[in-house]
Amino acid sequence: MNQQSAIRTPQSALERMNIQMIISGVGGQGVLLVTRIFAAFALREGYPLIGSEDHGMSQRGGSVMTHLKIGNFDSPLVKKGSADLLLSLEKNEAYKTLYYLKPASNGQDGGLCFINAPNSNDMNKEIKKYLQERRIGVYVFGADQLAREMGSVQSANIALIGFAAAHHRFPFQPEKLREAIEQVTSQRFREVSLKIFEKGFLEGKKSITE
Amino acid sequence: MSDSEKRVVLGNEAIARGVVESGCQFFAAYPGTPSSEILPAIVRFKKENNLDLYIEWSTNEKVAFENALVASYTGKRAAVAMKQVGLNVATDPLMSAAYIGTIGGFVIISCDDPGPFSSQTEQDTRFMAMFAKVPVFDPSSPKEAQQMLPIAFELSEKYQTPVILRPVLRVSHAQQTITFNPIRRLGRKANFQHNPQRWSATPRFRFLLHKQLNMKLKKIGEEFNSLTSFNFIEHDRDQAVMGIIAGGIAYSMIRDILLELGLQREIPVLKIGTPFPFPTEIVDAFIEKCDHVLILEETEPVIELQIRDKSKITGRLDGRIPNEGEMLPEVITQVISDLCKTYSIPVGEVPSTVTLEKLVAGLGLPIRRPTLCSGCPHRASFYAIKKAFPNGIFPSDIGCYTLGMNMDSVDTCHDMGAAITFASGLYQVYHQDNKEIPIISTIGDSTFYHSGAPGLLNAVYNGARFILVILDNSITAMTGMQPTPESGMTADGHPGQPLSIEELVKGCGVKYIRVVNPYDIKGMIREARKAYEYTQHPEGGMAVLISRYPCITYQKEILKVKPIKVDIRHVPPPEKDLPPLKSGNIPLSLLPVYQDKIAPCTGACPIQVDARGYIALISKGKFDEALALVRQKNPFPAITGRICARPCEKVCRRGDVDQPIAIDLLKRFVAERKNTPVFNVTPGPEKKAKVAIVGSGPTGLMAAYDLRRYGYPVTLFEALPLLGGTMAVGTARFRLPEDVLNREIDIIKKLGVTFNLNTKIGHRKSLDDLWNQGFRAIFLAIGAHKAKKLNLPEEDAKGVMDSLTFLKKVSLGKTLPHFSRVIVLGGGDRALDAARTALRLGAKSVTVLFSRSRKEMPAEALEISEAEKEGVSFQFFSIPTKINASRGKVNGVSLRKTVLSVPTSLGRTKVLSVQGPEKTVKADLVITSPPYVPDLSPFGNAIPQTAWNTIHVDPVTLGTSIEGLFAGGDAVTGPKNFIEGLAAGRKAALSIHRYLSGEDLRANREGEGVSMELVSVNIDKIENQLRVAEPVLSPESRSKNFKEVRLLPSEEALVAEAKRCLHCGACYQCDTCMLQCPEGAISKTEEGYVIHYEKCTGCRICVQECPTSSIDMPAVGACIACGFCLKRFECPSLLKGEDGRVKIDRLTCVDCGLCIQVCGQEGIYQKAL
Repeated sequence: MNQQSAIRTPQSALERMNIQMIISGVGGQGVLLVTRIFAAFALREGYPLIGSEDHGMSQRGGSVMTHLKIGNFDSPLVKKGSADLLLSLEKNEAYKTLYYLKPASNGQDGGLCFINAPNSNDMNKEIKKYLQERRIGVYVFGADQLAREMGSVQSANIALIGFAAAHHRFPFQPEKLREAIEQVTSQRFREVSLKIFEKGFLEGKKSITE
Repeated sequence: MSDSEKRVVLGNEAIARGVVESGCQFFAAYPGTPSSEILPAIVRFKKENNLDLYIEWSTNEKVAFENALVASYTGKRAAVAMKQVGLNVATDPLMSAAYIGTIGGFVIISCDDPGPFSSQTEQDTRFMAMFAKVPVFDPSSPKEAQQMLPIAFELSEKYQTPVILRPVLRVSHAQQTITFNPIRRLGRKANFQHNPQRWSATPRFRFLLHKQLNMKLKKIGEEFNSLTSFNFIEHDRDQAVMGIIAGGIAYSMIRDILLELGLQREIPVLKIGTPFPFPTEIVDAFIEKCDHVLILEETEPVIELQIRDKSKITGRLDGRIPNEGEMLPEVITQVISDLCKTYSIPVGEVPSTVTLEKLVAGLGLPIRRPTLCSGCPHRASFYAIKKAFPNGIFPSDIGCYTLGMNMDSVDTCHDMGAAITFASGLYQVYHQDNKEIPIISTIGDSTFYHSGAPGLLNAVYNGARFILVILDNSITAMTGMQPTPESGMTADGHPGQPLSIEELVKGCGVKYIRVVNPYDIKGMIREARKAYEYTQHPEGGMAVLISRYPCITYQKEILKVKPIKVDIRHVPPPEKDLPPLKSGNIPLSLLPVYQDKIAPCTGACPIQVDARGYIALISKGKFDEALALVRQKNPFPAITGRICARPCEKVCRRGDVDQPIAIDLLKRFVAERKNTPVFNVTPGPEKKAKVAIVGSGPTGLMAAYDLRRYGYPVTLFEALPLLGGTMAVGTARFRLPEDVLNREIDIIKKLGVTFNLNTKIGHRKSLDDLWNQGFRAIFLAIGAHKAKKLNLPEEDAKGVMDSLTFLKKVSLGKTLPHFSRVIVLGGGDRALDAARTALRLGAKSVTVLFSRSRKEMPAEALEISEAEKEGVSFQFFSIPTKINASRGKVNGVSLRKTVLSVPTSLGRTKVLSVQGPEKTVKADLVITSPPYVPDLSPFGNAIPQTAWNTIHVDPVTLGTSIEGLFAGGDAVTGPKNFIEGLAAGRKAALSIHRYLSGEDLRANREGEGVSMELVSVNIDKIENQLRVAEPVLSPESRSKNFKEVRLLPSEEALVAEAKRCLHCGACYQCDTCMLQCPEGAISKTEEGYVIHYEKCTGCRICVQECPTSSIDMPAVGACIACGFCLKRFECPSLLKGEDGRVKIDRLTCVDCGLCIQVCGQEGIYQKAL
């Protein structure tokens, strides 16, 4: 047999982006829409993408989580302690998925997480301390409230993306995300979604001081 | 969509793309996670590209497999998709297909579910492939699955063998960027070549086929050795300390891990995409070069077992890799790291997340277990089933509804269709021991079509009896809303035929089929109990309920037809004094109380006889005690048992089930048994103040009885020569025999009442005379005996007489004019008494004229039918226009037909007008039924009167405006029935007693008389059993005599009748409360039940379930945090708030309103929109 052809080398490191992320929440909150927005982003920008979403029984009212890897990856699963980003639409689901975040190492900062919860102060102190020590950035934002005020309760997911996009280490350009949202949302929700995205972004600019 | 375009797609869509890119022309599937998205994607590609491709959702995997297999026999390429356990269903055709092979390419896509996430097992399809001797491809990513399919089809065609593609969940449900390649359009035409030796091979040929198969596999294995696109080595080298052999998805995982650990150049990887037949050569060569080899594959050691020399191997067989569950990157990373340390390969530290995981675990966060969706009709069905059969066994099946286990309504879930076969097996095994247990099997509509029918046929055939509930939401919801055969919709829209579950069930031989609406929870509970009755009935059998309501997630619009808004009322105000979750701190007023209540029959009785009490005694054979209980309130049980209007029976709750209890007969029975104990009633301590009673009807006698019991000397004045008033002279003897009447009047006599017969007050003796004789109080109970005019021409003619006068003359033995043809006008009891008396006295014909229908006649139905049997004829819808007379003597009646109004809500009609020609009927005696008023003329102006010519009294006390003068009964109210007469007498006696003792006449009298607050009992579970038949004297034996017509049933029959009583408001220790209490807070003692308040949450279920309403609790009308809905109804939109109370999750609530039906406290309610 031809040995030469059986050899495969990894793809050259042409990728400018290697991002691993977790999106978590509860069935009904629109975790899958968030996934689709980032998938659309990756496709538009020409980045390879692989990920895995929960189906089947977990769809019915239970915890929902998707793994998303943009860049040079083969496996759809994010390893614990490897995620650059965690977007969580629900506080308890956020706690349950925090361990995916990458701790700081070799002079590099840890991952970032953005959590939709009404009150930023009620996070468990020990856990907060643990994350701070590992330079994992935690940002709590009342996305539900913003979405409700803007008249579209179900768009908290978009508000959270907007908020996160304001962080200087968030790897996706807000303008590109905006285009992805425009592409993915249905016509009926497009206008309000974009407004909520902008508003979330402004809130992020205001409150993310790092 | 153009070809060669990059897209982010789901693994299953990539597979679908691979299928169409291979030129597949026939595709069949049965949905099952994680395979379900393949078929819809193929339908999309077909439509977008206008492909010549037949697609079907088959009814099960075996069916799908065989349809597609035979398509490949005709030369077309065909494929079938299913989940891994679906392949179990199709194993039979799979095994044979390997031997017989294919013509066109045939690919079986079987999706594995390591984890498992939504399957019964973690089984590995690659083993099935080995077992069946079928080549298998194991893709590492969506992209590779897409690329493998054309190769798989080619291989299948080349070797004429089926080929399996085995993606795992992380391939099927991964998302990946792929490139769409051009679609092949083979355009092959079906061409079945007759070849019986192959297509229907006999065992001898099978042997040859097996031999051929083995040769094929050998060749394919060799080919796989050089199939470098799927089996290849990465970073190959001549010698390595450690190498990895990775199959399928494990390859993708190890690639990312090695990259992250920086080991990709240190550790060569042999990737295996075709684990069977095994590419031995390439594997052996790789192992040769390595000192140690780690085998990574999902889920079973298929590659590992096929490696003959295992000396260098580590993997699952030695336990290095966990043998259960999905392979996770963190676990494998740790394994690699450990191995590197062992083999001195430099490797960086892997950061541990254990500390953080422990911290999070310490928070005790609620686990969001999978649950039925908000508004799911299955939830309502399960709630109803559990409610109806708290102790049933519940075999269930595979689908969304398996989640009914959260509600304790699913006991088993095994494989498709096992709900029915498990239920029949359970029935038989208990039946063998002569034990019948409610077995309620639940199965979804799609699962029933899949494999329910064979089990049902078997159950019916072998005589099993259980309840099968088919949860028909008209869709295959669990796997993503695929149509079921019931809809007639096909996968790609080709014409199909809708099927009917009812017809299928009927075809299985089931005789009892009911369609129920689970959204009517109470209705469903009722139907479930009825179905159980059927299974228990000697003539019964299998019962099937089709619980039909569309999947609410699929058809949310159905809730918008009649939209409602669900809300929760909280008490006390949310700001303060929140009640805690468990009771103890809940005010006692909010907790259930176990206490007997007044039964409706007693409440409706004007003199409050404890009917429920004496019926219970009769049912236990305690007849004397029963009689004593009756006599406590009623000294005239024998009379009452015959002529009472029985308001008790009108409110008897048994009447809502079938017929009211025969309370009259039971009372008469205890009063009339031989050797009943003597009624030892004694007067009260003698008092001085004398009381005069005028009139000896029921009212007068009852007043006399009570007043004597108070101790007053009573003198009774009666105008007639005999006692009893209308009982004696206004009631036919064959209904109330003289001896019965006299026997009970004797009780009054025994009490020492002085009687003055033939003494009409107002004539020779005036009221003043009585006062002068020293009577301190006078009670007028003179009845209403004066007939008013009818205003009919000739009503004063000779031979025209009102019914009371007629009966009175008969009773007193007065002479009557001769008559032979009698007409009776009116349909009351007394009119019928007169008619039947006239017949007994020798009338040749008696005709009753009534203005409306038979149903509307006020007389009792039995009396009407008996009158008919005796020979009385009836003319309904007839109204007299005049009485005809000649020379002052009656000779007939002219009548016309009536026109009636539409019945009112109470069912009553009014005579609007008359119509048609006037008819004349001949008669020599006409008995009328005029209105009666008291004859007050003898009193002149001595007593106050109303405008209706009755005596004017204070309705509370029955006192007149004259000091010491009381009046009651028909003289006050106009003609009323017997029992109301008794009540009036009792009321007057109390007033007179208070008057004479100087007490307040009006104090505390609210409780007297009829109670309108009737306890309502639960009749859902009562089986029908009709009222005891009442024997009557044969019509022949009645002729020309006044023997009593209505007889008593046997003692045995009456005891059985007493047992029909529902014990309204009185506990009979049925244990329902104890069984239904979700907290186990009720226990049993000899006296009854004890509610342990420390366990009680106040959910009110015991109150709702108690069949006799013996447990009471005010509905708070607000959430008291009992937690019942959270525990028993388990809707994801009902959340437990921080304060323990229930709140609605607006994000997921669909406002289905089912929780309103469930909340016992009426705390969840329908808010105005």
